[in-house]
Amino acid sequence: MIRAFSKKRFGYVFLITTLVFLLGLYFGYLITNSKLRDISEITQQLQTQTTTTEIEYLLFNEEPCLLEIPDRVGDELYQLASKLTFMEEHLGKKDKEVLILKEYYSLLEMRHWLLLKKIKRECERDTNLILYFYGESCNSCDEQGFLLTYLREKYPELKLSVYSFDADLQNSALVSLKRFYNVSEYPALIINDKAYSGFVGRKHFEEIFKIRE
Amino acid sequence: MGTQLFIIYLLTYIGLFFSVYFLFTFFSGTSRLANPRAKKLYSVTIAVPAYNEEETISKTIHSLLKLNYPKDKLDIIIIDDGSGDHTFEIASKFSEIRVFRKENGGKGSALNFALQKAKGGLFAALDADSVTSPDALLKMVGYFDDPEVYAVTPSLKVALPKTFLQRIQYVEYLFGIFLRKVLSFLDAIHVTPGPLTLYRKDFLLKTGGFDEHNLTEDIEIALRIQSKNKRIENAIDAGVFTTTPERFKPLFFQRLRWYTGFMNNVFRYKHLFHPRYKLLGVFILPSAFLSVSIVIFFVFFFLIKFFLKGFQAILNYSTVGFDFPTLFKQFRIDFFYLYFGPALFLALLSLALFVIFVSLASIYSKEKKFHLYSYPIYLLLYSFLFAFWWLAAGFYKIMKIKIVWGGRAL
Repeated sequence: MIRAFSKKRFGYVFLITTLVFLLGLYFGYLITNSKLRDISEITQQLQTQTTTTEIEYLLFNEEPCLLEIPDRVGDELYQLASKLTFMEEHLGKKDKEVLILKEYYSLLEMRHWLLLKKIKRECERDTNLILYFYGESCNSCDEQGFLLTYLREKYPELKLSVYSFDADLQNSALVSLKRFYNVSEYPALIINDKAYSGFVGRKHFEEIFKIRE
Repeated sequence: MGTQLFIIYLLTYIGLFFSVYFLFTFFSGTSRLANPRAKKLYSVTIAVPAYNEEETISKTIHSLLKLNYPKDKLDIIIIDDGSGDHTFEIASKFSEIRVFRKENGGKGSALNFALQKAKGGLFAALDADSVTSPDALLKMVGYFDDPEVYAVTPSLKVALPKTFLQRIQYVEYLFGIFLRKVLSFLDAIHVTPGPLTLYRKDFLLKTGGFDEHNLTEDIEIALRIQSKNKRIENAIDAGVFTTTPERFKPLFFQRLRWYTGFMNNVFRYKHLFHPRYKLLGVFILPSAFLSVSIVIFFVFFFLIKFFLKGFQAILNYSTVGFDFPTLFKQFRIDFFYLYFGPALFLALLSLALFVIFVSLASIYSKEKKFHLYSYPIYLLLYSFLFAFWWLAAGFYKIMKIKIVWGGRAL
């Protein structure tokens, strides 16, 4: 009999296909998980470093300005942000693990920012602190983030510390921060305590920091 | 995001299912891979329809004369389909063959003319742009000992791939060789390659010969045989080498003709989509259409993603005045960004399956050459070409644009 419809063959093929497919899904899941673990590990290290700096700050209470703030913390904070964004792109904005990590990361950023702000004020340091808020319904946030990364690299003498926040996160500290600076439109930038709403272009930055080419 | 991911996984699963099905079928049929030795040598007519083929005709004739087959059982005829060049004169120099000249009427009419003149019980056509390996015929005829077998296909290969499009076709044809063997195990071959496919002459004559108004008369005959519930076999190591289009435009028109012809013929034999035709009707034919749709979907999905990303990248670069030296400095290699999600894993899996398919085809069709560069080119570009050709064919069909072939609109 020609072209017999072999149920047995379909059964075997179904089994093999499903097995291979599930194996693939599981493998992908394992790798995603290990990446998230990476992020959480870096977050942990960052927290230790930030706390160390805070304690050092307290120890140097008499002469806090003798304290040397390592630049590295700022850099790593930045790397972490881009890794989180990457995971967000692949797992989706609503992924629970990403959300938890992001919230934790935002709090760490605020803590670091507060510390640097205090040191800047009390010790008259020439660091420039930028808070950057982005949201989901935002037209030029991608470009703004890209430009900020670029400026950090282009003008190391500005000592830019950029703290980026996902404005859609529902964290009360973040909500307070937004309210404090009246942030409602995105992208929003707080450059050394002065608020700017909407996209800030390269020219505008160079005016703010008085850079002449 | 949720539905999009679900669709991607579903289509990947279906694609994987087809692949595993074909692979499983191949390995459960390995005992049938060797060609049956012919109990008797059938008389065979090989017809070469030629229209302005003065440059290639003698090569084709030489390859036919070198066929390892008793001369008294082999009848070679050349049909000059009203050429304006020296095709007839060149062919007439060979004394061992019969040469006929007729008014131009297209390939189908030339084949029907040949069918009337044919002396053999088996009939095959060989285009003037193709050559056969000496042992091909001997490997194929044994299958006709089974009275249910009405056609036997050889393995069609690309002769001397040079341009990158020919290299892509080289791999594509290898893939086709694997697929055809698997389909022969299932008695579900629905596309027979034109060159040197052997048919029972009686069947062709009784069912009206070749369809002269068909874009792809070979597909029509395959479906004709299937609809009569007769069998089409395949001799995987019977090599026939064909010259393929070198450039984009002729290749595009060839595919337009093939794919439109395929759709026309499948529509004409749409009654085959029926449980009466068992596996062919309920699985193989639907899966052919589903596979094309899946490829088109993934190509579109990829292109949309690619263009959106590219557009965003241009926007980003413009904010920094395209200052690439600085951007290059901030570029860091971090393996974290090498994404290895489930989608990529499954993509790698399909790559592995592809390697297996093509290797099996190369091994069992006794392919001696290994065109290393052809494989990456194929993997990189074929799906885009394939999707483009099918969409174009669909477009021509919907818009009812006539496709011109050999100077005649069909």
